[in-house]
Amino acid sequence: MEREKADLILNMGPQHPSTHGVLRLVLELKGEKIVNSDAIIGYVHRGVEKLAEHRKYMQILPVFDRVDYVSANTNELGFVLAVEKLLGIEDKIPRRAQFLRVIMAELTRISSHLIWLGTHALELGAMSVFLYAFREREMILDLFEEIAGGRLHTGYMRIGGVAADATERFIEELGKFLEVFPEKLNEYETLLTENRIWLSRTKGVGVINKETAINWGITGPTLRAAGCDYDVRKYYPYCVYDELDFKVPVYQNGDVYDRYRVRMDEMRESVKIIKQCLEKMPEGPVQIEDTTIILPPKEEVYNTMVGLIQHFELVIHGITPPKGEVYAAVEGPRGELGYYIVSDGSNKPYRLRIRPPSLINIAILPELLKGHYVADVISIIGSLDPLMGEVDR
Amino acid sequence: MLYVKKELLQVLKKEFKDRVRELPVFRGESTVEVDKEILLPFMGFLKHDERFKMDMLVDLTAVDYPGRKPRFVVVYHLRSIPLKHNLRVKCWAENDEVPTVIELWRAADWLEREVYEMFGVRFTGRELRKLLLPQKYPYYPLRKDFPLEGKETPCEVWDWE
Repeated sequence: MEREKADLILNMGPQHPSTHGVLRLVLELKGEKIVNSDAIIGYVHRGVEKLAEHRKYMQILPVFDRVDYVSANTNELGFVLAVEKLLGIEDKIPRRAQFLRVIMAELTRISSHLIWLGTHALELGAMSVFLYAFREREMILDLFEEIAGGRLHTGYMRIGGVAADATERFIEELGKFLEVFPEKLNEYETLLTENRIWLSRTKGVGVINKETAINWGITGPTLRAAGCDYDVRKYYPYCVYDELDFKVPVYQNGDVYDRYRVRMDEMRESVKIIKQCLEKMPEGPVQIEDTTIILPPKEEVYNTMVGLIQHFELVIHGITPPKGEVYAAVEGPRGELGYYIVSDGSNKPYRLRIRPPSLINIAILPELLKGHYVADVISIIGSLDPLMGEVDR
Repeated sequence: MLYVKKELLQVLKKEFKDRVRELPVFRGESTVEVDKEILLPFMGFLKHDERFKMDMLVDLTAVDYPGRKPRFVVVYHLRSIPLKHNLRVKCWAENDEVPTVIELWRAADWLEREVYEMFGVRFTGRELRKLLLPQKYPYYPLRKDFPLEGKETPCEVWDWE
């Protein structure tokens, strides 16, 4: 194919405020139209996969918090599920822990979508949505702080359960949040959904059809906006998603506007899921009892010899899964977040590969931008919701 | 996660004879190993055959086994959205080269570039540039013999394209 000749080459980023981090685009323009473009990434490459090869399984968790730094819980969950699959203990995880995991994952989805909504609207000129979205996100971060101690990097999941049980205050505050949040969502929608400026900036822009999306490996809201109902939670249910009643929002046009609609609906579904979890969650332990996998309770470590030895053993030797390879995936806020672990039977993974949904979703950018105007670039990047920490890893 | 059924793996064996080998199933995940020479027809078969319909390349990566020959194995995770099943395909990179699958799945575009810069596996039949690292960076960091803390010797990496 012959390259169309450009009049001007424009460098956008890596410090551009609306590229969601450090994404650099080199746009070849003819007038205001993009004839060719190239995406240059890697500015925050930290070598997470290499780091993981040099750490024990338990030590990897805090690193993965920082891969996708606005949705730490789903990152952890995916990794924890992969290691549990490798160990073959998926069925032994206590049910209360499973429900808590789902609650945290869905809260994370809401908080991540809120950031997306705020920044995406801000980029397209709707400043007020940003302020509202961050107000509600603050409530979620307070919830995280209450249950896990951390606000962004919660470190809540454990191989074999979760770090701590939900406190009464957490349940109470979560109930309050679930009560007010759907109304707030309606409030955001009054600002955007039928807003004429919003519609003209988003409708029919950046269209990806179903076949193209699948061929490019796109997952998450971007794929569902294109008319494919693929969602890991429905296709390959993990934790307790198969017992919960929720819909997967699917839209047909595959443009920026539909991606917005999918994410808005997803937040509503997440509220539904959390409500059901609170109803169905049984009492009981939140950690597996096997001390070769999870640290014994602190009272035992401080007061008994056995506890101390078990603690010591696990910290020094770590978890040693059998030799083998597994792939486990969760539905992160941005799409399918997969972990492929190759184990050689030692206490460190031989190879750990993260399937980063953001990277694979934005690979289509150079192709997608062709023929669009410069102003649409902002709206398209925003709608794909890339997170550069995850793109570069 | 649902993987391709045993009967279907037999179909592959019938079609491609001993050039496709079934690896032991671990935790319910099926893997096949395929010779480099027939990688492209094999992948094309998986994508277009009615019984497989593997229309999505979920992930593409490599694993380094120093001391073994060939040293790198390229791992493809394939999925069929309509049939919901998965399959892992492995292909040993003889002479550190593997044919590209970009014609079948565009998702391979950036993933192959990443494997190239991290392991030095070359994908033939396409243009290869580094993805995350500077273009002039001389090492392959995910190889097992690359130290975790990096190399001390200074190198000219910035290209300011």
